[in-house]
Amino acid sequence: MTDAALDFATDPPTWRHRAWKMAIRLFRHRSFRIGFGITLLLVVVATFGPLLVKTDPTAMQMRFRFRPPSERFLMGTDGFGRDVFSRFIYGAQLSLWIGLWVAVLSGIAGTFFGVLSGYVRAIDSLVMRVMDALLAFPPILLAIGVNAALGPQVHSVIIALSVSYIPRTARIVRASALVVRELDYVQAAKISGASGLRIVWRHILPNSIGPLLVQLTFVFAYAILAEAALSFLGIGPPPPTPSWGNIIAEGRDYAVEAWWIMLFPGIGISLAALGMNLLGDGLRDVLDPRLKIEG
Amino acid sequence: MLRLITFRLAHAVPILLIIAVLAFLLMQLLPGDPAVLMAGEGATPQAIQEIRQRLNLDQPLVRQLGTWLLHLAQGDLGSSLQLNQTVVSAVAERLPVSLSLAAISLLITVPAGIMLGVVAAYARDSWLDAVAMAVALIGVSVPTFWIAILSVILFSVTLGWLPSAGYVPLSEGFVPWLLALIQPAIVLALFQIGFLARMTRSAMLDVLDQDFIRTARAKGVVESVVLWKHAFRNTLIAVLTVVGYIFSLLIGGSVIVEQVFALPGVGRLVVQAVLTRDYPLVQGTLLLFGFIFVLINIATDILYLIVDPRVRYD
Amino acid sequence: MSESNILEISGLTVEFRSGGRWITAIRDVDLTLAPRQCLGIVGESGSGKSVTALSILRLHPAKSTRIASGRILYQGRDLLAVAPGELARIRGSEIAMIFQDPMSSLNPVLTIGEQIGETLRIHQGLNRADALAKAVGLLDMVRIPDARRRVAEYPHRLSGGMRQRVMIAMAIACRPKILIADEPTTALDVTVQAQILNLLRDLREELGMSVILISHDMGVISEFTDKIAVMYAGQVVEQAVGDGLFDAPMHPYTSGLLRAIPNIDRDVDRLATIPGSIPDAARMVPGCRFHPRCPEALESCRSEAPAMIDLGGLRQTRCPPRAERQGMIGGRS
Repeated sequence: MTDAALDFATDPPTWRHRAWKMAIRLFRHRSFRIGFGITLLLVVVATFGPLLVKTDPTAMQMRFRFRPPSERFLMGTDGFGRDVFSRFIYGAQLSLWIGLWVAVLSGIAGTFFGVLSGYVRAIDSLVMRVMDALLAFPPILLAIGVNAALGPQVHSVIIALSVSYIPRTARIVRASALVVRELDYVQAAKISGASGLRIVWRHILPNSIGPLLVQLTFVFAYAILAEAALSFLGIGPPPPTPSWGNIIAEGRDYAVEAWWIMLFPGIGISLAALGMNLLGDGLRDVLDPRLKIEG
Repeated sequence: MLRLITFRLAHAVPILLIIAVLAFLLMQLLPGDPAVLMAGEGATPQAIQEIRQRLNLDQPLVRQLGTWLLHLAQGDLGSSLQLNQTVVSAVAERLPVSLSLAAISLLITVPAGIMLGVVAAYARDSWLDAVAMAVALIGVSVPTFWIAILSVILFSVTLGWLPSAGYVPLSEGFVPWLLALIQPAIVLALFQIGFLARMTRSAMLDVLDQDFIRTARAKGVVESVVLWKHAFRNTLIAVLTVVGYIFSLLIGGSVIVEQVFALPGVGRLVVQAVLTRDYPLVQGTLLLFGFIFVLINIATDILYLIVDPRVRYD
Repeated sequence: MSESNILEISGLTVEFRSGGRWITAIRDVDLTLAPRQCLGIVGESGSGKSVTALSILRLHPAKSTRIASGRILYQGRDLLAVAPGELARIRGSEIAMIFQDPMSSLNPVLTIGEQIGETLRIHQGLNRADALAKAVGLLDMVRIPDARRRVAEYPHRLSGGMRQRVMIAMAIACRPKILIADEPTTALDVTVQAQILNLLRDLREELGMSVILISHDMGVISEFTDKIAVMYAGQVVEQAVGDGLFDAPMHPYTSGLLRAIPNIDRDVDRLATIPGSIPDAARMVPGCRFHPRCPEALESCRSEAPAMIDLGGLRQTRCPPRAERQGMIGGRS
């Protein structure tokens, strides 16, 4: 037997193998399949839609105000004669974009603070008290406050929402850091001189990735809902921007006569949130059956 | 027990302090000169100078923070720039509206969410479970403001059953008050019901799997008693941990619902304040919300002490 | 049904659902229990002894378990067929059960008195105060000191051994005819184990109960029971009354279990255990279920599933080679 063959025989299953097994288990989960389908559909729409839609989502054609859905205007037109379908497609892009950024940023920052407070004992209580304080503001209110300070722009929405979800993410990472830190083999690694960073990288992060991923999926869903709410309140991306919340806010006064303006973006938001929630349910059941609390 | 409560209260002090500092720092985030921003476009230099002095913006940062905390300790949150009122009186004026809305909404949320979750857990994997969880999932996925508009179209515009906007104080009668608030309260409750139902279901499933449930059955306890006496009380302990979060969702949602239903509450006040760049008012209300949340969490912790015998002793 | 038995299990087959398939957990189990008898069921974990015990009161998780066939006759009635209301009446009053882990078997939010009293309130219609008063007496009976104070406490204040005593008090509250004890001492310290087992024996004599004691420990079984059934991979493989089983085990698995008892009288260098483990219920081996681990396996053991062989004198085995040898050596009298 050659050395290579020996290695193959004695090695534990590779991460590639484990990832494959995990994927199979995920796709056996019904919620995950449905959520994945919905999310994939929206991602495709948001990515390729703008390439296919010819109409400018902000172009006003006063001749075509309040046209109901037709072959020409799939979702009708709004009070300025803008094509709602085109606005819907660009709105999808913006919503998913914001959701993704919020999930990524709050994930990174939350992980940083979680590891910091779970690993560096000295500042644990300070960091966690700040997190508790941040947690005291309902996310949407915190976002309103931060947004008020930064001005109504896409990036301030992203920052505002990310900040409000950091504490929950940080708590999850800290919890697993606290557990992992005390494990025998981690203690052994520490004694044998492994650096703090290495322990974080090799032991703490891999152990928190499951619950973290579940959490971030729910954050994604909340961020989409929160962004829409902010836009609706007039504190989101400024009006000409085609965001789902903006379209609904503008269509609100004509909700009875021109129902199509606010109907489709509402369905879009619901679907996006539903898809992410289902994905999160599936991930939670498969990755971390013990984790019960979302959000 | 008393010691635990005292400990819990002491624990809250630094958090309250940090909240105050965070609310203060929010103003410092403003790009450029806050006084110029607040005065709005085309303001005279005198107006800008006046704002600067009123808000102590001409002093060093630490000094400003000190003054802010000192005033706070005296119950002074500053004055609104637009409303010719102190922040405290502006909030106090609108608080009854928000509290009424929150109270009714909570009274709907708790029984509905818990029932839905318990039923789903007990009928696990049946059609009843599927329906209950589909309802809960829709609750946490559909945007509140959208469902609010749809609801108004259906119940106010089309059917004409309920008013579409406005608030009637309790002093003008219980029924008019309830009629004005019932629609917004239900709309506001939907998300929390969904959240609570999902939470309750998984907590309940956890409990139903425990050995002591089997013990109860082995004793000859009938299923309904197993469910409500043995399983439910333990579930409630788990559910209690998210009560604070439910409140947080409720406060956040009320901002939106008050806007749609034109209810003159604190949530609407915040939105107005942001739109008119009334920063002291934004800061003050945020701070109050933060404080309220901390107090609610202390209250739930104390409730926890009463419900869970394990915490009570240890 | 023989008149002398209080409980008769026959042809009991129970299946579990696993990933959409039904898998046989126990197959064709036959057991009998006479009044005042102590039946021991012994086997490794996964042998199906707990499944058998839980079947008697139908305490399995309802959705993932089904009883495919068999009868459990209690005083002439089939427990598998009685209505839920009647079953609830029998549970706790005529047949009671205690479990392996006393730490998790008591409800953490109810006082001990409340939990013991509940049994009395259900079955004897006592009011809360009377039930509580009687609970104090029961705690005395299971030798919990300071019973009057203990009734008002919550389970988490008690040690494991104390909690198991509370479980026993709860079980005997209505003077049941049968007490099923599923690994009652496995989770406890060695010193506490003996106390609990002695308590069970004393209570059996005092109350005239029949007891089914389930354990993986041959030592416990040999000391406390007067009839033994050995289970392996979901089947009863040997049965005996009295000490015959220890003197001359009629199944290689029984021999293996006996060798696994640590014997402090003898100087043992190595603990003799049985190599290998119970085959996966989802992929049951053909032939005798024990043959992959059996040092005495013959070619025929690989293909032919052995039936229970009656050796007379209430002795049964599922090992034809040993039965044959028995016939050759001693013959049957």
